[in-house]
Amino acid sequence: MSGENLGYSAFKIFVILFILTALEVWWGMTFRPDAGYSRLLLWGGLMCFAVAKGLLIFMYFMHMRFERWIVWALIVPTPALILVILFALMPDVSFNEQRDHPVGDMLDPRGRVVDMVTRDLERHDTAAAEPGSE
Amino acid sequence: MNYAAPAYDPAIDAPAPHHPIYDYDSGPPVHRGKFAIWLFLATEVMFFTGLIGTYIVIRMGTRSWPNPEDRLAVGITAVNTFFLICSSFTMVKAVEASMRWAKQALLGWLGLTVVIGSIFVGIQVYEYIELIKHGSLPNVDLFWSTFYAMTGFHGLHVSGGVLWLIIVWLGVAFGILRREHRMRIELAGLYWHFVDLVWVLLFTIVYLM
Repeated sequence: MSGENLGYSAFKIFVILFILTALEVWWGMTFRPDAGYSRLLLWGGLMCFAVAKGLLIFMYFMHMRFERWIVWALIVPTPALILVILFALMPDVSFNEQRDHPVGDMLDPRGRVVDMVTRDLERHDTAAAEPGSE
Repeated sequence: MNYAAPAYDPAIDAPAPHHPIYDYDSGPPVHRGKFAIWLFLATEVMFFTGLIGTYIVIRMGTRSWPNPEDRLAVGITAVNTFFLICSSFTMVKAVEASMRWAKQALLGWLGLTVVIGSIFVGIQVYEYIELIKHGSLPNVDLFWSTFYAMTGFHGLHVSGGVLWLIIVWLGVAFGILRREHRMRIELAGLYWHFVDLVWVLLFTIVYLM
């Protein structure tokens, strides 16, 4: 498992990837919003794990760490270009006040839903409607 | 290090002797095959980032979103993710064996990669069958349509990768691919690792978030 020809130990990278995957699943199962944790904690942690794993595969298994500038020049601009499309779409879809896609509460056949947005809104509405709540 | 392939390989790239005017290398400063596969992977990055980006935009624009844990078998898929990471490791070992041209080791590691990749696809097909049995079709809601779009296209890529690796394995086994063609094994490996990389992100975004 020395990986002499590769310039790194593939086995070490594999073990790190395995550990990161196990930790990621644990994080995803534990810090859920319905268990009282903030969504930022869940998503932030998961993205850290995913990015770390992705970078390990990208830099070592795909040996980008040892590649020349021309390969970097090919691959680096692509996610940046996609971000442009994302930012162009977001105002129409994500920040549209008229939006209504009730995928969760109306269409989930088992009715078990984590209502991430409306729960907070409804709580505010209920508080405002209660007499003397102000 | 001896890992980087020469940009100019006389065995492949040398011009015909009666064309002295072309006796220079006008190609990119990496192996042509590697340049081509990275160009292809760049389009693949845009393809998958487009799918994932659309999912994120739709999800952010949706008032509520189901808990993936309630709808999907996260545990089985976590094991499946582990399989795919294992296959990346075996692919690295296959590439390493190809550098030494240890043919038996190369065939062994490549074969193992094909088997593990096939297991991944098999588990995904089983998951699809179970979901469809329970009425979770792509036309039910946005959750399922985005789920099938992302994981389906990824599954097709994995299947394509398995097919590619089988062809490479047969090429090596029957002596069609020889020591001088070892770059082709590395190119197949690059594609395979890319597919693994995409799944690492998809698993996090679709199954855990």
